[in-house]
Amino acid sequence: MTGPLDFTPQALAREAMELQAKLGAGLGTLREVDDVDYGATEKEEVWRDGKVVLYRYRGDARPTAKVPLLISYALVNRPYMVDLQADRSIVKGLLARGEDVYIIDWGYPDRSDRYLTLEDYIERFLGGAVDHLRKAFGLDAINLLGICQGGAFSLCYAALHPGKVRNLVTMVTPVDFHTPDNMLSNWVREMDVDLFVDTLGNVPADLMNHCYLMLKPFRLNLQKYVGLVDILDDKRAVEDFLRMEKWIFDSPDQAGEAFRQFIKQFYQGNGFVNGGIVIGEREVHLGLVEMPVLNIFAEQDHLVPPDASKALKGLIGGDDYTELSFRGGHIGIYVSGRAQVQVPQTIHDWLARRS
Amino acid sequence: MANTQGTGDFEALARQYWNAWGDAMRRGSVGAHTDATGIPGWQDAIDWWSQLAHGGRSGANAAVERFNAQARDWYGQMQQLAAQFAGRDAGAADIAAEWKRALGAVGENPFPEMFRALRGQGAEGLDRWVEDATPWLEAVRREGASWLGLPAFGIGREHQERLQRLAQAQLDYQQRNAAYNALMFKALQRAYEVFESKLAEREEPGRQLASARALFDLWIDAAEEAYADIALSPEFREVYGALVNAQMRLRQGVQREVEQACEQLGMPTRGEVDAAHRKIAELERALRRMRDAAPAAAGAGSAKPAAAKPAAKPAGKQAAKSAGKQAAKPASKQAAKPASKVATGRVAASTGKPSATRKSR
Repeated sequence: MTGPLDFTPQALAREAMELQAKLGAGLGTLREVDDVDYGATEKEEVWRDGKVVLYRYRGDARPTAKVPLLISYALVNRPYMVDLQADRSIVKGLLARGEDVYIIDWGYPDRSDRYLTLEDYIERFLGGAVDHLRKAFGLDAINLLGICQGGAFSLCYAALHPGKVRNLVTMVTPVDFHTPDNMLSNWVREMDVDLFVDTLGNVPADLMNHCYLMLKPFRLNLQKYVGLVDILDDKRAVEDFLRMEKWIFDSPDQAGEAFRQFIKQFYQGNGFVNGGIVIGEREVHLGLVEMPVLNIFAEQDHLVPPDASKALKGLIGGDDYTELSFRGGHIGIYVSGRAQVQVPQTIHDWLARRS
Repeated sequence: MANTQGTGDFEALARQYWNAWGDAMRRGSVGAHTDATGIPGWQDAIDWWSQLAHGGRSGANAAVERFNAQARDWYGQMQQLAAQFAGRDAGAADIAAEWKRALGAVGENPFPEMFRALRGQGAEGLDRWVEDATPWLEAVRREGASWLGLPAFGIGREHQERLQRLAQAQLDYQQRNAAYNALMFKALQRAYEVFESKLAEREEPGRQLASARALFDLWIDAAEEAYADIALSPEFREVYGALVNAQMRLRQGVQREVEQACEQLGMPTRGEVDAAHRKIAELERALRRMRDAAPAAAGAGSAKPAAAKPAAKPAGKQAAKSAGKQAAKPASKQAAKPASKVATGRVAASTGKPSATRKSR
């Protein structure tokens, strides 16, 4: 046959029946799937400030690292993405290699948290967790791993308190917010964020989720669910799918003032590059980041384009800078099979060389 | 609760679906159906399937709903398109034109319609609020249309002006929304072009599409590409920003009316509650700052934290480095001090403190 299509009516009917068979199998699978839970690793609460909780994660063996590793995740999603399930857990991988892993859980802000600022998140909560660990371990400085927006927070913190951060790892962290391929940035640049926050107060999680889904609306809302049919006869694959769905749609509202400042200073002002990021009463200069930095970014990241992360190299003050370019996307960097092998090992090796 | 109907009904329906296919093929009329929702029985089968599938875990139900909301119709449409061209020699232009016709039959501008339907547990766009508020807004508009441009005076002057502003905000929002929809229409037209060009690339032997699913995936690629071109454009930035801003002005207008009504009824308003929350946040912040400054003052004889710095210079690496070096010392010194103990008393309860060991998973 000529033309772009090469199928007969019989082949098409066969395809349709296969689809029907999958749907039929799905009726059983969807009833059998367990209520998907997340979090593969045992953890314990070690510190708390309001809704913000610091957890220590427990591996099968005692950690061999002498310096704790604190993970600071983004505010916009829940941090259990790094410990989603036993075979998809960066945390598990780090623990298995001897790291002593802590994660700060920002909680779910409510209307009483509307006036939390970036200063509260960075100095009070992140700083409080860092100080707790420094004190608990009798150390001047600890290792900090910031992810996405949590990476931007970690950069601010490291610049404001360089003596408290021994080694800094940034993962899929936006630094230059004005790269031409940054869709989110394009969308908020003309937005009157004062009007937005004054009107909404906290920014609803559902609105944020909708916004993220609109970055790739056809892939994330159509193709993904057609793809679900392919795995409907596989209970485990369906559970994995539903666990990911749960993570995607389980998002906290955003504290209004912190959102206002983040959009203005980072997305609109591009403050890491242009200057002008002020946390509390202090301005952030990435030139103050002189500790070793490992910067990990994802080559197919549609939320934080690689160039947005790679800009860090030219802005920090230190010379000990390492990059890991990961072949995958913003989510795959935590949950893909390749990530389980590559990411914890790279972080561990890099830290070990600087211990 | 799980749906108690067995899968037998679904299997019967699947047989029916298969028979419909068989009939269509025997008649040689695969492709002749113009049912907007797909090939024979697809819609019925999926509706039935959704009913049966619904009733599992809540996460599973949500996924079924999301599938139902969009994917089934679009995929059904694509099956229909594939059926029309199965076994025929058709060029890229013919297929793309037929796809355009099929989508045109569903609605003039299907992209915004699709985006509006992207909602459910965990995701709501801007337009949901407008839809919810529409009955009330319509009443205001009907009431206000006649006096929208009239000068306000007399005892109800402020009330009238407020309502005039609200009615104006509604009109403004509608205009901005129309501009956004126009951009989406542009994205749609571009998507048809990209689809045709991607189809043309597949005319080469060895690169042909072998299934309805492959055709669907190609359309998804085309739609994403066209949409991304628009969504990354300066034009979109302006139009989208204006849309969001217009909706926020409209919401503010409604909120003002609610506040007004609450005040008249002696109920606490959102503004009052916010003011209380603001005071608490500021007090906690002031306390934390004092607590952080205390050890630095005691240890270094100076209460100044690492200096509020002058406004940023353009951050070339050299400039940043030199700024860094100047400020690094005091910051490091301050950092080297142990963290102060948390303050005692009531306020300390809400600030950082070690937790009693609690295990969880």
